[in-house]
Amino acid sequence: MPKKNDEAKKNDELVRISSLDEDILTVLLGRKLYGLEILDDLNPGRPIPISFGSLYPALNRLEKKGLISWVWGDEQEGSGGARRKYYKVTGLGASVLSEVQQYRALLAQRAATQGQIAWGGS
Amino acid sequence: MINQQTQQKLKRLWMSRALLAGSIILSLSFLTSRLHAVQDYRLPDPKWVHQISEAVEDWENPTTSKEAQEKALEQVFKLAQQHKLSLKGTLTSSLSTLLIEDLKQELNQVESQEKHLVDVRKQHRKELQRQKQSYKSNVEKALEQVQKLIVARRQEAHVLQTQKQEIKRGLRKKLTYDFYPGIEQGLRLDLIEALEHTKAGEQVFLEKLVQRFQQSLAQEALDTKTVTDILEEASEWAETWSKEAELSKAQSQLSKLRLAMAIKPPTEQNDKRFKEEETLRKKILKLKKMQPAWLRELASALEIDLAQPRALEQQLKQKLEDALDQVKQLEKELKQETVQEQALIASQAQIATLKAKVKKVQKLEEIPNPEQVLVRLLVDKRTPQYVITLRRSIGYELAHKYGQKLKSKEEIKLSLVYTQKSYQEIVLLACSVVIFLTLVILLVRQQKQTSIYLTNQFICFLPEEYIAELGALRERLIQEKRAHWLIRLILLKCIAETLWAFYIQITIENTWLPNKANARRIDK
Repeated sequence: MPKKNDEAKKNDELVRISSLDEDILTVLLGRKLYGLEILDDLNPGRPIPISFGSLYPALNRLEKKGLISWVWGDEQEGSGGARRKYYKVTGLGASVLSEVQQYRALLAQRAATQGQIAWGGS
Repeated sequence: MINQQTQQKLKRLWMSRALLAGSIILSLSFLTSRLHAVQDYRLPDPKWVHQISEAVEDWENPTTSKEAQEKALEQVFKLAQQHKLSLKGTLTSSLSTLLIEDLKQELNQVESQEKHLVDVRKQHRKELQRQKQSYKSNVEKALEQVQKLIVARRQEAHVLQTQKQEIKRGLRKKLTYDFYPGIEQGLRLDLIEALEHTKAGEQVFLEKLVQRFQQSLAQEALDTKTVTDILEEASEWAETWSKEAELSKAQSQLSKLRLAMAIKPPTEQNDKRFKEEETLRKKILKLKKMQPAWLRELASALEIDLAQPRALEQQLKQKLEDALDQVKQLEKELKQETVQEQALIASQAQIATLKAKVKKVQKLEEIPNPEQVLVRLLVDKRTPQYVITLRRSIGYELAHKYGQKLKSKEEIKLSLVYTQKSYQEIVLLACSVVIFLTLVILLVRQQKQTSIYLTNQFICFLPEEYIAELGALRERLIQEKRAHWLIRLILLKCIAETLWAFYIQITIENTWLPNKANARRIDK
């Protein structure tokens, strides 16, 4: 019983994610991507482009929090037989992302309604 | 996955690179040190040294003509200018001994002057001390006397007070016992005849006098001065009245007698009258002399009382004048001493400046700069050429020292030793250059031998996925047909970023991030 209680507590703990983490989770949702692909998806249209120096710490962070997982890819000839890591979103990651997205939608809706009142719209 | 063979190969590659880099750094530092040493042993241009030494010899040779000497000097200056030798050095070094001697002489003079001044000052101080003591004693004496005088004054005041009271009493007594009867008697006795004609005047005078004394007595504020004034006035009154009355009477009698004598020839009556005239004259004299006795006594008493403090005052005045004279003299002495002290201070300052100058010149003499040494050695003309070559290795001072004193054998020995040393240094330099070059060649060859690309060479330092990603990036850049140097630059930037992220940022963040064991249950 006490074990179960501890685990429940852990699950109930809030998972804090940054905007970059949220972006990475959004990119990885429903897909398996390696680092360079993630960068390719993230950088177009981004005001400050992300490099390897900020991507790898973010991936490590998400992995440590249990929001993403990875699998080894095939050996690459061009890189002397080195393998790539393909990242995907975990269930916890998906739920955290959906919570954040719901909150954002709510925030947007609230802003829209308040804006209408302020500008005298119907 | 990268196989273990390549990993080991890469490790060896990095090891050998590190070794080569270390050895290159070592050899480079050794090379620079040897280069410096060889530069120290570098021989100066023998040609110009020879020329300059010859010119100096000509210049110093007394047998050569003046023109030749001038030419030689010009050549020395020209050569010195060409080789940036400071000829100021020659001047200072050759003149410095003379300058030191002059300065020392000056210093001795000033020091003797200072000694003299110090002696004079001591004497003056002694004199002043003595004068001060005498002055002090004089002042003390004067003060004592002043105190005595004050005491005496107080006593005198007391005495005067008592005297005043006594005078008052005496005056009352005189007035009651002597004055009225005295005046009455005196006037009655001496002025019976005179007052026959002037009875009214006598009465008036007496009344006035009595009134005045009565008034002053009634006031009871009769001090000595007023008493003396009154007495003087009274005596004057008495004199004037009595004398005038007597005189007028006598003169009228005389005039009458003269008239009688003039009108009538001298007869028995005339003789009588002449006799009367004589007696009248005597009376006038008597009256003139006549004054109340008690008045004379009083005046004399007062004069005596006043004379004593006056004498004391005069004495004190004299002493004070003496003391003032002494003070003036002391001031003069002090002024003289301040002048002497100023002179002493000035001489001390002069000594200090001279000492500083001597030190400066001595320092110049002790540690000459290379140019000075060189030119000095040249000027000394006995200096062999090779001593100049040794100046850097054995130090300037030593060169300077040996340049003048060494004998030929020692010079040769020294030269041999230092030429040997210089050869050793050159050999070492050559060896270090060879080693450095071989190491560089080895490094280049090693670089050429390795077929693994730069990104893959970092497999020893970065995780596998990072290398794979960098490889993918490189392939993409090649496909995009970017410049070779740009690809290298981008890759190097990425390598640096990943190294930073992996070794520093991720390591720091892992300290507060949960371990993988604490993964969320939802995944399972």
